[in-house]
Amino acid sequence: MISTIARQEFRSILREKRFQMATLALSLLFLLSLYGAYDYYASLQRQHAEAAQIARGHWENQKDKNPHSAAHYGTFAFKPAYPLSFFDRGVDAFTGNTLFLEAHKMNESKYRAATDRSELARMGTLTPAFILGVLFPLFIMVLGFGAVAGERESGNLRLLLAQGVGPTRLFFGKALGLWNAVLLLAAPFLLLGALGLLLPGAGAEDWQRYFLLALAYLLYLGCFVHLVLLVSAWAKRQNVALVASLGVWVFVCLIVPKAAVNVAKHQYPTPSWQMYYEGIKQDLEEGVDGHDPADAYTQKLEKETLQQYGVDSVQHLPFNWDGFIMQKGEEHETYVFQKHKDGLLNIYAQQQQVHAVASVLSPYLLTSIASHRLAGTDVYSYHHFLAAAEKYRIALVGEMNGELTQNFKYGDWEGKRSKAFFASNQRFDYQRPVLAQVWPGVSPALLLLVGWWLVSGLACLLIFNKLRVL
Amino acid sequence: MFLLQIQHEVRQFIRSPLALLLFVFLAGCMAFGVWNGARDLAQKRGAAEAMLQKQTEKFARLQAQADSINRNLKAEKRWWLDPTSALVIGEFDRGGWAVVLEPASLSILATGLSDLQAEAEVLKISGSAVRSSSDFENPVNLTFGTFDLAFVVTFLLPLFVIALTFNLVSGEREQGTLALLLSQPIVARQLFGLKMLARFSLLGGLVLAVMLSLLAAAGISLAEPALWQAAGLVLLYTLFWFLLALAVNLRGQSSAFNALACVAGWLLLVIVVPALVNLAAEKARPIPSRAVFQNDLRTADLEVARQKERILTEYFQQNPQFVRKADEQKGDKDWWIEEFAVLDFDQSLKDSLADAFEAKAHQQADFAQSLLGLSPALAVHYQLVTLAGTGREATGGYQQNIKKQQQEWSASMRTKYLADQKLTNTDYEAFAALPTRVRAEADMGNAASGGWWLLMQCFLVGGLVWLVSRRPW
Amino acid sequence: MIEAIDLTKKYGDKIALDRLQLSIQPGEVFCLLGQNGAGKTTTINLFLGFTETTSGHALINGLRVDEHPLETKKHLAYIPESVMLYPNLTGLENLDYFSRLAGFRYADGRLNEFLADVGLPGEAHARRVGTYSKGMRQKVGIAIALAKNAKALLLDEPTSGLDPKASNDFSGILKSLATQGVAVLMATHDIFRAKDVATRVGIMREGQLVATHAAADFSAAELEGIYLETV
Repeated sequence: MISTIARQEFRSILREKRFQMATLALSLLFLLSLYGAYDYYASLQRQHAEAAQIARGHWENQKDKNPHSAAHYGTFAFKPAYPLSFFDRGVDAFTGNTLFLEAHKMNESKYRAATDRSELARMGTLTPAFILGVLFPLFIMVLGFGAVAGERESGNLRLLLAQGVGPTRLFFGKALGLWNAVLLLAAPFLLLGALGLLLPGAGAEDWQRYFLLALAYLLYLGCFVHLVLLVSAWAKRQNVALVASLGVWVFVCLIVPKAAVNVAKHQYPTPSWQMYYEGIKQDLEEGVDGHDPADAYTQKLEKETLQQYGVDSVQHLPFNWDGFIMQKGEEHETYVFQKHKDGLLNIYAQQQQVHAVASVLSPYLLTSIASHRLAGTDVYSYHHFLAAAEKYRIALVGEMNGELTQNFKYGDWEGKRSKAFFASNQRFDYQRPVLAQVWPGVSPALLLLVGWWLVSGLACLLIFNKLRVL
Repeated sequence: MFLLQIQHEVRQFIRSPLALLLFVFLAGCMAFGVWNGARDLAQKRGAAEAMLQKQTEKFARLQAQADSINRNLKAEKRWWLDPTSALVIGEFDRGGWAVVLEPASLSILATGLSDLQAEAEVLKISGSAVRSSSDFENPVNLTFGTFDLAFVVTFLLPLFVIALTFNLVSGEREQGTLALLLSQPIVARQLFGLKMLARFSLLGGLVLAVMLSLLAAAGISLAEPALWQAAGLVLLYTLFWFLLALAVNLRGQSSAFNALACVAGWLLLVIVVPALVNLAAEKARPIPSRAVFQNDLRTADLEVARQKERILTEYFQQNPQFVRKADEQKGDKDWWIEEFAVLDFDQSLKDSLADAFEAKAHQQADFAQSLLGLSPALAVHYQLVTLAGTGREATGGYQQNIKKQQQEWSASMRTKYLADQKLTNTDYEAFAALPTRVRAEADMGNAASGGWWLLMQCFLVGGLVWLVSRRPW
Repeated sequence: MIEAIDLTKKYGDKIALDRLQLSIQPGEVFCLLGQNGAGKTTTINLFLGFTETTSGHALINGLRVDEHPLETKKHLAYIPESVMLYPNLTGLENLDYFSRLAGFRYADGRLNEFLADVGLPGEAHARRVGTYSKGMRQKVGIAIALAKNAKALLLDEPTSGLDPKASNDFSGILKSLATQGVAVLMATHDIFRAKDVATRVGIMREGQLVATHAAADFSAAELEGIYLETV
């Protein structure tokens, strides 16, 4: 019985002119999006890899200088690219591409792609995620709005129910039929999308991530199948069903995500530049200042160290006190910088809670979150990179300070090091977080999506059982 | 006759719960948009004012301290904190002159790029340091974009218009009143023309009334010409969608078909075409890599190092009051003399790199701008952002004005330092008189192009209506 | 008065109306009977100018419909098969709107009179048409026709879906209009009603007016017999 209904629904949808036209249009757009996106990852990856090489070259070939001066000369780290970023660019356009690593400062990254583009670029980018997330649901709405309302209007519903079809069976049949029509297009899309992974750099893990991504989008589309059937069962006439379905799509995909994000932003605002840096300054002033021997903490540390080594002045220490104290200062400072960065992440987490509440109204937010995370283009992946870059900064500066501490006499600021030394310094080798690390951030979103799918299905069952026949 | 139609339309509108609901929803969205814009503006202004307040306090303290030092009442052993030193105040963290980038008051209209905009820059001898709260803004918020008035107008207003006009004619036919109407002694075309005009007047009037009252409530003066330009723009945009719905209606199909066709038009023009235009712009005029740019700046340093000898020789020739010393004999000031000597060359080299980059990056924006004619959504969004003063031209405008001020600051502080002048009360009072705000005045060459494109698009659709109406009912 | 001279309408090769000859004088009620697709609605549409004649002429009050589209509409009134009107407007407001379109501005009192004349209950005048029954909407349609002071009345299946009382009321109004000198052309299936109201009865088959009889000559049953034979 269910399969009979499903088959009939599937067939009648396929014969609709609007199905054929919409399929054509969507397929074209999807292919275009792949064309537009396929080299997004590859070109960014190549640019940044080359830039890293050049930056390293600058570092190694820098003029002979004192190691501390080298620490101020600094080097650059460049944002990593993820293979799946072709599918979903996430927040990529709004995170900085270059990061300057130098002593005593934790810089903000610079050069966001969005500032180099025009404002029109924010009206939408054609990526596979956009098509699956925004256009496909509309496609589902257009296909399914008449599923029940049309039958009711034409009187077929009466016939169906008179034949002894129960409401639950009716729902499952309709849902299955509609779902098959959707899958007919979604499955090739998702398979085609996987082609993007054949580009160099995609490992087994990326395939796993893609699999989860596909799952998330399928769940998402499933939610819309339920939504459209819900609206169709509720509406009195087909016209009403159409307008209501479109309204639901506009609400879920356009209005709620933007509104939720704005509400979250105002509810949990991030600090202004001044507030952020004053916070850091305040914390630093209560800490170790490498260049300022008059500072209280330095004095304390000095006393302790002198005691430890049993000498009466820093000149008599078996190592260069200047290098030592600078590194200590560096380590304390980075602690302060990281603390404030984590404060930011906390605010983002609070904002995300607002998003999670709003996703009761819109599964689009949930899917976006999961999609960004799996593609590696979310905020947390970026901050993972920033944290790793900071660790590298400390290590590199540590090598400079260490050299100063071990191999320089106290008070000697004239001594220099050359290429031989600089070439021996460690390189920045960024390891992307593995799926297992990312999973705790993805699983809640996926679980909520499953919940959405189930609840919308239950709602459908309810409304089908109370179906108005006339 | 027109008055009769207006009366008829208003009556129908007021008595249709769906129409009222849609209108209230649109008005609500517009209110939310304006509220968001106003809040963002207030936040930016607050941050800027706080910064200026801090600066006033800081410089007051520095002035007091400098005064005590000048009168030998106090001493500052840490040379890098000495408030009487033009170098310290001109260049180091202790000093620097903060200038606020005045947010455009019309940014309530459209956020544009203003959520990425820095709120201040600190002028120093060697350049200016950016102070931007948007560095800390959650990128997720930036990705989804602001729910501003421009969003409501560009994306939601057409749907409102479509929802109330998709059955302009087909509804009458399905209702049965079409035949009754046509059996009256009136020219059908005239009747429908007036009917359309009446409905457009009603819709346009409602939307404008809401928009203008909301913006006025948000603090934009009704005397502001940009406000009326925006109103005209919104009216044109409403007209476009209205004419499109009319053209679809004149094909004589059912209401359901009309609704689908109009929504397909919306989808195409408002969602798909902009995305395609962006794709085309990306492919045709890719933005060069900032990573490469960053490294190029480094390489420029090497170039400066290479040219240093030549520049220094020239400089000491032109400034015989300074004597070039060997490295071992250089005092602090001698190092700085040499730094300053190469500064201009260094700046011009880096500026030329930045300009070259900007020029290339701008090509992408220009390319997208040349395609405004493809979609009224692009045209209206672009024009609203331009009117609000939050577009690329405005950003560029800030930069030009900042540059001027920075050069003045740099020149004045350098001169003072090289002349061994200590900073006194007079100097500090002069600082207090320096401008602290910068506006985004720029050459708005193509400023109205969005508006003209929209007008042209209205004509095109009007022509389409005329073409379709020649076929029989 | 309503006149058709050699009125023909073809859709491609299909002949919808074949050389119709008809003349309805003031005060006459002419009922056009026939199967679905026989050409009744086509005839009415041609008089209304909703479609173009292939050949022949349709005249209202001596004026050719194709030459004087607006003027002829001034002289005629039309009641379609299903009168829907504007559901969110009251009966009074609907009448007012259509009258003004026809060029007549009546005071509310006069409009109420029109509605009362056709038998619409007084309390219903200010209610929205969306709440009316089919019969009530029908009456508003007639009131619109009345308010126009037309000399020719075209009706397309006016009694379909009406209950016997409403149908009867309708006959009464029609007869009184005829005594006032209005020429009436009514397309219908309702043989009983036709016998009741008509002066003459015409039977159409496949686009041709195959028979015309004076209604007084036959009883309703006989009329039905002739109908069944003819079609």
